[in-house]
Amino acid sequence: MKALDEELRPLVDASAARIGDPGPLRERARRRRSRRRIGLAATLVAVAAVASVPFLIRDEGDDPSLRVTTPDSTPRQIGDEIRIAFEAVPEGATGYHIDLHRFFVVRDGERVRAFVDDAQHLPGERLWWCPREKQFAAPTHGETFASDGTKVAGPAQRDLDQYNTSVEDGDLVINLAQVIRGAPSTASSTPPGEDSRFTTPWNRGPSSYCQGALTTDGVAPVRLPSRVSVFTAGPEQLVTTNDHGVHLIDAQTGRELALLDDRAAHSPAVASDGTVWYTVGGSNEPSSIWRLDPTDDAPAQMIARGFAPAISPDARFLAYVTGADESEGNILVVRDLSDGSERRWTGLPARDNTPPSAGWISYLAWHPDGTHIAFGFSYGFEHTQHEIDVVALTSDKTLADAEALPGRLIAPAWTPGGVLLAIEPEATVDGGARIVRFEDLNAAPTSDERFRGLNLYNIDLSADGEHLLARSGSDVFVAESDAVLRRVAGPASGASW
Amino acid sequence: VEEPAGDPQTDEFDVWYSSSAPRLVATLTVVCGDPEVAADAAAEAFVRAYERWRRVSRMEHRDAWLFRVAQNILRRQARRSALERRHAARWAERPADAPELRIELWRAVGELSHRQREAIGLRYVLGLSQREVAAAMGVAEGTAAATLAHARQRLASLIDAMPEQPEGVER
Repeated sequence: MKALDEELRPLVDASAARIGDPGPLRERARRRRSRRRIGLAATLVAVAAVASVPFLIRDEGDDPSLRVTTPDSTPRQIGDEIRIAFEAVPEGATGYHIDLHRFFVVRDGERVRAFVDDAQHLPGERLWWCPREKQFAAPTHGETFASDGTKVAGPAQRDLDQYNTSVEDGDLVINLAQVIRGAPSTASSTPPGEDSRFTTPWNRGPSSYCQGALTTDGVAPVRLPSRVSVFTAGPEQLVTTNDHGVHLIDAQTGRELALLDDRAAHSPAVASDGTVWYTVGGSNEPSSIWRLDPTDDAPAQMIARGFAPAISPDARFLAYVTGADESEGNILVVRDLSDGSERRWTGLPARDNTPPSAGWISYLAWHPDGTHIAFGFSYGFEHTQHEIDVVALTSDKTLADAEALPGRLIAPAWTPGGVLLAIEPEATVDGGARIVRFEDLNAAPTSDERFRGLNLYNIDLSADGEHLLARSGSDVFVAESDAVLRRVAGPASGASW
Repeated sequence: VEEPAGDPQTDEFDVWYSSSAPRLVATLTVVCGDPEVAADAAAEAFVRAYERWRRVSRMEHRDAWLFRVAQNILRRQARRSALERRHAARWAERPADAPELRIELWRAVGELSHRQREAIGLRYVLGLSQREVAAAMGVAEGTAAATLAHARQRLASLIDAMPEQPEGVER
């Protein structure tokens, strides 16, 4: 028997064939370096020339030399001016965030204004552009401004500040050094609480106000609006997570209604009482479970160590997974939210000679009558083996005798009638997934080919059982009972009704 | 702003690359189980090394630094889609086994915890000293030694007759 390093040596030899020439890597590094040098030079020039705050074009591209020749919706920064090809400026409002500068450009035909993104009140408070109302709004105290910057309502003392703009050689030129201060407001100052529409509309006003708000960073990093109890009332809205946070999505139009800015969130679950539960962290860090009550301002951490939350149909119990303990393996926990008491199921079964500690539980799904939980169990090297088990909550707290469904399955979901759906990955000849239906857990499943050809990662049914969402990669699709399939959202790392 | 490298010593970088890149890719393969992912992360780590070459070239534990950079790249990828990496991404086209190794050994490595695979990879593939292993893992030397010992024991129990190597003996 050879020594370990000798045993592993063939892997090094094989890896030698996988690496490329260092030349292209050096070239990549050089490009990045030169980009930074250009940025540094621009900063120095700007500081020297105008003695103002340095600004740099936020660099998204790979090669700065390309950007110079690329026309032209891309803003170009020259000295203290930002230039955008005039014909590339969209009608309506567009948000820009260029290094330290944030501003909105509002175009109305030939008339263009550039508004400083400053709600005037709290430091760092950003404006929203409300596309339907065609107004600016400030989220904290509900100041609103017309599309020409004039104050409409709320406690603001003046109209919005603007940058001086001009048009030269077909370019819109925004002069960052020339700020035109907003005129002192003549509109009445509405104290908070008196104007039901404009004071904190996101908390108390109609939830339809300022839907799809736009900020200079794209979408609005804000609290969810109040009227989200319709979450589970029907197929109207669903929740997704991605790198920007937890999103509330209109399931019909795919439009984003609101966003909770928590970039580490994933695995969302919506409870029947309208609360949204999700996991934060994971992978190589401890993960925690959070609860968002849409009528509150801030989400609350509920479980310090746990993941994969699932709320019982009566919203009384939280099921989650914890204990990535090396000896013990994952533990299924059911917590009574009314008194905080917990019951734990341990004893994951060994499969394929894999010790239980090497397996993962995830994808918890409550049976509609609250008596059983289906969960995904992955095991084997790098967890490439998958099965779904169903555990009765009346069982004596061991997972070893949980009932394993036949087949390689992930991501269980129950219909309101107690039919179990699951994803069978790589099931079709084109490598796509199939959704299988277990009318009876002891009988062979039937299959649903609506999502044929897609690689599915999770599915969920709306409360009425009529709409099925499925996530494939980062795209969220919704299928209705008549087999219509629509892409409604993305990018997403998770989704739930 | 990162220091711009003055006149990078291309030859020295290339020599280092050709000696270290295969070992880094193999080490990351042990850690993450996927040779392609490992090769991508290693390439990106070398790009970052060359960007900072003036500084990196003077480092005492250059390989340990490189591993940490690559490991961060892997982690970021994993975080980005934690669930997918757990359950989905690996279905596609991933070779279940590394054909270059004895199948028993590869499977046994797969049974180790992430930290244990890191330790084994760093020590026996990348060829770091125990002290460098600790530096690369960001743990105390004793912790690294214990992790290595546990990892070897576990490998040995998974593969009959895997010989114990006395630790602390520098190669």
